Amino acid sequence: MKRISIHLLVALISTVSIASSFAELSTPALESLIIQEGGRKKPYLVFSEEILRSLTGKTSIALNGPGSPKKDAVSVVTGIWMDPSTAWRGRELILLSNRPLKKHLGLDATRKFFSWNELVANDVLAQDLLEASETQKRDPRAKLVGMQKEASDVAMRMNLLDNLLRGDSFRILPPEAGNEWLAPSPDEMPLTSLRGAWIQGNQQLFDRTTEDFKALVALTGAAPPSWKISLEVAYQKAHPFRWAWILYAASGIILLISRGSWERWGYRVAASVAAIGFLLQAGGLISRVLIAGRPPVTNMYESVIWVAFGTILFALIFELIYKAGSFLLGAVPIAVASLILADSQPVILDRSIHPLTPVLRDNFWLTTHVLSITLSYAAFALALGVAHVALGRIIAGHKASDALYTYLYKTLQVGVLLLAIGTILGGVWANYSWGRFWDWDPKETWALTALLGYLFLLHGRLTGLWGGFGLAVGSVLAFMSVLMAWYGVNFVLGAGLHSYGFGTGGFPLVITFVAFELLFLLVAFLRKKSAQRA
Amino acid sequence: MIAERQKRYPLWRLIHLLGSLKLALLLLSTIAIACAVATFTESRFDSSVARVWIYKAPWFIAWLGVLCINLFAVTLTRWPWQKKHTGFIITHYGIILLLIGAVIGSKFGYEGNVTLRTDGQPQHRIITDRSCLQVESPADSYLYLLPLDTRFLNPSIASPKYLPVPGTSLRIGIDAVSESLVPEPRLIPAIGNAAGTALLIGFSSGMMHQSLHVGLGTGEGAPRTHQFFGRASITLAASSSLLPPHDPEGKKPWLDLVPAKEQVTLFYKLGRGTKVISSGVLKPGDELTLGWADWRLRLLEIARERTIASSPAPAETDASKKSEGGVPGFHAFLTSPGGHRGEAAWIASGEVVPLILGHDLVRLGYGLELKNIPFSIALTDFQIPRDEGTETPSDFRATVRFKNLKSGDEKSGEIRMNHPASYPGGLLANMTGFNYKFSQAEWNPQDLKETTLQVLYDPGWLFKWVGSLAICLGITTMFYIRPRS
Repeated sequence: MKRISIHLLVALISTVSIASSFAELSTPALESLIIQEGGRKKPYLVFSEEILRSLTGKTSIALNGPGSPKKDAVSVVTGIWMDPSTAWRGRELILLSNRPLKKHLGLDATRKFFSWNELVANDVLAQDLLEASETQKRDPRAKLVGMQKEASDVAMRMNLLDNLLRGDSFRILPPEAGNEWLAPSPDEMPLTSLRGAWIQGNQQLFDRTTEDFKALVALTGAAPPSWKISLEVAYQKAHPFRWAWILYAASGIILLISRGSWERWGYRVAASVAAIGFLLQAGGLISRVLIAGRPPVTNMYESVIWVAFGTILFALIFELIYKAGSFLLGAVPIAVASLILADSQPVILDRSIHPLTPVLRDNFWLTTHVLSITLSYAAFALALGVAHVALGRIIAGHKASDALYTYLYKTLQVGVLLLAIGTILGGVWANYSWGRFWDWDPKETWALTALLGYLFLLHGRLTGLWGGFGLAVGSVLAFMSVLMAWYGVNFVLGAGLHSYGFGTGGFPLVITFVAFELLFLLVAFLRKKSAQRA
Repeated sequence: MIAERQKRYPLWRLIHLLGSLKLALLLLSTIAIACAVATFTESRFDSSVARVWIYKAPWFIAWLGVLCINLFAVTLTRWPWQKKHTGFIITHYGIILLLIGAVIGSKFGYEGNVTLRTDGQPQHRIITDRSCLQVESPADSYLYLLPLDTRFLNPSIASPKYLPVPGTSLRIGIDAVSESLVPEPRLIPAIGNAAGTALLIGFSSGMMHQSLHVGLGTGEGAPRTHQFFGRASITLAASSSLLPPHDPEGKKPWLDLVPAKEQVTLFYKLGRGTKVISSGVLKPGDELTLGWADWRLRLLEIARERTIASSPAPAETDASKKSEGGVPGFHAFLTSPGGHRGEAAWIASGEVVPLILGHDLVRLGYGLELKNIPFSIALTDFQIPRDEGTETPSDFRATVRFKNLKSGDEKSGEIRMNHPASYPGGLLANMTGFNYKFSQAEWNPQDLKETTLQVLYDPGWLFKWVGSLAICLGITTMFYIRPRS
């Protein structure tokens, strides 16, 4: 389609005189407005939720203090855009949850949100930021740590609010040349009209201006296809992964409570419910693939979702073959826990879709290497689940059947095959992109360590050095090495070439999990001993 | 039968011992634990520490050798092989092949890098990742290359490490190493035009855990200005009329110094842009707070008829941090069989330093080994596309021109992220690894005409990929393909 000058077209929309009355308008028309941010074009809805999440850690907030009605991201962000008054700088919008930093800055430790004005007046914060910028000027590649990192995160949020208030973030005008979209200035269309309607409280005019403008942008040919925008809006609103875990949880409960004559029916219903959840999750993942144009395994959030998906996938395949129930029972808690984690920790697990770092922009290698590695994590997670079913039976005073241990062995085999393939493919990819096959990068080394650990477990079982119980205990212990390769290298060690996946946070959660698992093993061990004595 | 042959033949007994699963378990667990420990060491200290103590340590390499023997022996224990052993044998031989490939690669191949500019000369030399010592022997004036990595040496004054000087009975003693040598200035007497007022100033910062010395002089050949980490400039001039004017638009902080005419004191003016922040007089030993982060200045020495000389010395920094601009090096001296010992000197990477003992002079150079390649590579174009509406690079595209130095044949190539260019290239070269592969490694945001390419020459590649393929196919066969009984 021929590109038409947007400025010319926009000028055709009628200007409205600014009145002094003020009323909040509803903003659904804006949701599918295209905006360029962070290296890609996205719907305004996604933009608003990402911005508000970066600012406050949430996608809806009570604007007028605790207890006041919650406002969604689109209304909050639009409110700032339409009426960028200084009042916003006095509102408690900026998330600051790090306790040591609050203490260091002399702020109230019980509060989580602070206003821009409060923070900008804080001399200690200013000093910290000066030091952080010194560090980065001296070495642009230096990683900020500790208080400097926390302080610069706060500064990033302050800056974000500043950009919103100045209107710079709202890049909705396609350019006449190049690919950098522009933010309209207050005397430019459509902002003049929108603000006019906003101040007048004229809902009809506001919606019509929005719709007209969207139609104009579509005419320029610079916009992404409309199905992509609609899909992303739908994906953002539908929360498919939330529905998936609810269904998985329901499936697990049905499986647990159906006993006796109900058992066969219960199993069928549980498997069907899990399958529906699985389809929902698959739908969510497919949407994500279509929106981003790449496999959904490029950051921690995506890999957590993907591993949950893989765990259920392997469980359903095994259930089709063996109809045992224990695969599903083992997989459900893991999938539910992973998906709840992904849904509830937006600051640690960032769900927004970003353009990839250049080295990752290769769908062939992403699909082969990363998918096989993460699927191996999923198989090992399923093995962890099946091991829990076996050990859980022992703790409950039953015996775990030999069949259950065979299932466990078969699950481990899937993981070992996929991890071996994935690790080797990683070497081949590294040979192309980094120019060497293997160089003891921490991520490489931990993948190898995990592989060796599982090989140790399988070889020991072959010799009869340990039996089914040992295999179950080993499956739990060896999963700790998977956690290390998956989470630890990126979040704890923070070294090496796989730095695009680095992040912070979640450490207490992981340590609690590890401690709980060790305790679980101890209890299982003691129960087994006492059962043998009896 | 297996028990029978073990009883009758000691060789079979040995094979079964070497191929035992118990040994395999010991190997698997120790290698796994060593790897785990190494990654924590790397994160806590430095990747070189993990390499020295584990990955490249003789015991680890030897242990991998034992693993190979174990893998080979275990396939023999299954002799005579049956169809059901197929996957098992392929897998275990695959691992051996992969490890052989790794040995060949590290023995006969090398990794390196080459920095190219679109307006620069073609390069036929690459910088490898291996350090070496260059020794010019007094016997034949020939240059000898000895592989040497100071990080692996661990010498001390009490027990220095010795290297022979080829063609002579002399030895080079090394009694200290440093990861960051910086030029250490000192005042030396001078005459004629070289003589002037020279001064030594010390800077220290508690925040950066760092201190450094700067020498300035007014005589010819002595440095008159110092760019303080490129962020501030310090200028010395014989009189204030000789000081260069400050840029009225500039935001850069500066320090102007002028020696007093009569006494050995120093006038200073501290400012930013055209604004003077403070001024005064400094005597030796005086301190001055600069207002550049928490850096402080101390006038250490000032004298007339002097100039500045500098020699490398270990930087005074917090041991955990690498000093800026520091280079690795070592402290060495010459010794003769009679026990005579010459004067010791610091030898910094990239410099040639003479060591003297009696009448013998040995020139030493230390640094990364350069390798000649049988062709040249030139950068004809370098593009960095960006993510829409941002400055974030989305790819790096280098167009290069290879030229065979013997035949003069030319060939062009394109290097993108994940898409290296090879020379000579072609299916056979790519499969065997007798091939130079150029991948995008680094770029310079300040200079978009420059790129650094990673170079890999890996004759072990054939073994690596055949072994890799064997492992994947082998495990699949072992787990999922059952021979019909």
